[in-house]
This record gives sequence, structure tokens and C-alpha cells, in this order.
Amino acid sequence: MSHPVTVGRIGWFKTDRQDTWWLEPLLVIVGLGLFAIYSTISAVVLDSHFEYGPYLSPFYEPLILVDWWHFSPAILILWVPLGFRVTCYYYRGAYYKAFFLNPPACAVTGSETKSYTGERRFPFILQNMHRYFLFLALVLNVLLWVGAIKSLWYGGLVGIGVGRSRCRSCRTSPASPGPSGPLELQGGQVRFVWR
Amino acid sequence: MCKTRLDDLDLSNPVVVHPIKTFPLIKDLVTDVSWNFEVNKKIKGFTPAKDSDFVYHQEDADRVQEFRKCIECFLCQTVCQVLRNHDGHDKFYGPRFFVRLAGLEMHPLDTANRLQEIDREAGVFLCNINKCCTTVCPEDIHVTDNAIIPLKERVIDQMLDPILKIFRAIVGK
Repeated sequence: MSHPVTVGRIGWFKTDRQDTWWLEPLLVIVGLGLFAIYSTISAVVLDSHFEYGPYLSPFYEPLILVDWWHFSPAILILWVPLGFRVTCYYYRGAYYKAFFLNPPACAVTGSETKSYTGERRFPFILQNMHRYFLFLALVLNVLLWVGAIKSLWYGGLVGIGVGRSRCRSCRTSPASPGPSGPLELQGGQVRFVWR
Repeated sequence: MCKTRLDDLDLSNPVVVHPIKTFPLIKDLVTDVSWNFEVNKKIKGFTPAKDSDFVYHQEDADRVQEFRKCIECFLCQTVCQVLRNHDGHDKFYGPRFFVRLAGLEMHPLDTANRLQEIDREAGVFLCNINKCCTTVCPEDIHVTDNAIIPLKERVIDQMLDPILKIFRAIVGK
């Protein structure tokens, strides 16, 4: 370089923006935080109220009941959609802003460190396992659809109840894997002919 | 932003214009962005094979055309938190140059391999996908989705993925 460029420390939440830049990260903190609390209670704490008639809580689908596992059966399943969502490019962008303040919003100063290593060092290098969580989520998605179809049968008849309105397969649906979904399947290659 | 129209703004309040923040201020609204041109020199240019006939699919041409819309306003560089907040100028090229690298890497006739550079010197993994570069781009280039994420996935695919490394060692490719 012809000369070094250095910005210097600016300070937390310094910005010239005059809009409500704080609203989006706040909504992510509230929305994602409440969902995390609800999911933990539903899947781990209330682990004996997950099945009624043909209905199975989507957190427990597919149901794995084995003697050697003494905790909630949901834990045997949920690491797949959890890993898929945590490593999703879209979610990463949202929670790096909201929870890590890196940055809190565009052109708003948050974390400032010269030793920043991004996603090239542990633990964040593990974000690059997103493709494998996608493969596992696609397998799980088939099992969720099987469960969804099975729940249509009640007492030998086909029907749709109120409990059926919860879309199981939306949990890991390949229709919503995030904006970069197919890229993991293609190894970053473009969708057309050559490269 | 450099293409903001005054009639899009609320003119009942004062309109405040600042120089961009990630580069040294020279005077008034003028900043020294020469660092960017030094970075640009480090990137290996378009390298076609000697016998290229320059005939390729329209879709491939369309794909890289998006990256050629860049007018080098450097708004993406100034809003990028790696440069702006973490002073990453010595280890990160910035979004503008990932756009250029993506345009070269995805060109159907280019033969150079820049993945090592994209990983190490350019520091693509310092990007944390916050999409601020895409938000401010006056040319509506989808910097994150169409340039940075595909480059990351290419590096993962060819250099980082342990399972693919084992697979390639077995099949000899």
C-alpha cells in the first residue's frame, strides 16, 4: 500500500443516521429471543406433552424413543434445524447485527477491534458447515412431510383438524432455505453452463 | 448516497451531506480513496485461454454483466464494518473488490485461479453477511448474494470442506 489507512475508534452506537435504525435489531432480539424461549420450553421442559391422537409436535418429528436417551426426544432431532438456521446466511446477517452489534445497523458503530477474524477462525468458521446442515434438513424435511400426511388420518378417516394447521415441513422447508439456498448445493457455482 | 434525488428527500428539514468515513479526509467532501486503487492492482486480471473463441452463452454474459455496473463510488467500502469499524485495510479488500473478483471468477472464458487470494489476501471470510454494501449500492448490485456468498462457497468447496478433501484424495481429483 502507498500509505496506511486507519479509521480509529469511533465509539458505540455513533452514527449520523436520523431514522429508526435501532428498530430492526430490536425486533430481531425480541422475535428471535421469544422464539428461542418458546422452543426451549416446548422441546426440553414440557417433554411429556408432545403427542395427541395423530398429532405430533413438529419439534419431535420424527419421534425417536430409545432406552438409552433419558432426556427429551426433541433434542435428538432439533439440532438439525437449529444448526441449519444458525448457520443460514440470512440469519447470520440478522443476529450478528442484533446480538453481536457487529455492526448494530449499517453505518452505526458497534464492536470495534483490530483483531477481528470474522468467520475464518473458531468458532465462527463452523458457520461454513451450512451446506451439511442443509443436506440433513432436506432429509428431515421428507420425514416431516410423511408425518404431516399421517396426521391427516384419524380413526380410519381422512380429515383436517385445527391441530393440522401447523405446517410441519415449514420448519426446514427447502422452499425457504434463505437467499443463498441453492448455492450450497452447487458449491458456489452459478446456475448456468460453464462455471 | 451519490445518486439520491433531492425530490426524494424531506426538504422541510436540513439535508446534511458528509464525506465518506472510511477514508482519510482531504478537504470538504473530498476523501483520499487511493487505497482502493492499490488494492485493485493486486487482483489478477482477466486471463482467457490462448485459443478462446469468445463465444459463450448469453446467460453467462448476463451473469457477469451485473458486476460491471459498478461505478466505483466506494459507498460499499465506506459502510463495510470490516473497514469502517475494525480497520481491516491490511487484511480485507472490501465489497467493491469482491464484486470485481466475482466478475472474473465467473467469467466463462477466464482460466486463472484466484481462490487462494480470495481466502487469504482478500479475506472473504471477514465478511459477516450484514448486507450493508448491498443496501447502499446505487447501481443495485446484489453484492452479498451474487458476489460474496458465491465466492465464499467456492473457497469452502475447493479449499476448506474436509469431507470433499477426503473424497478428492480417494478419487484422485
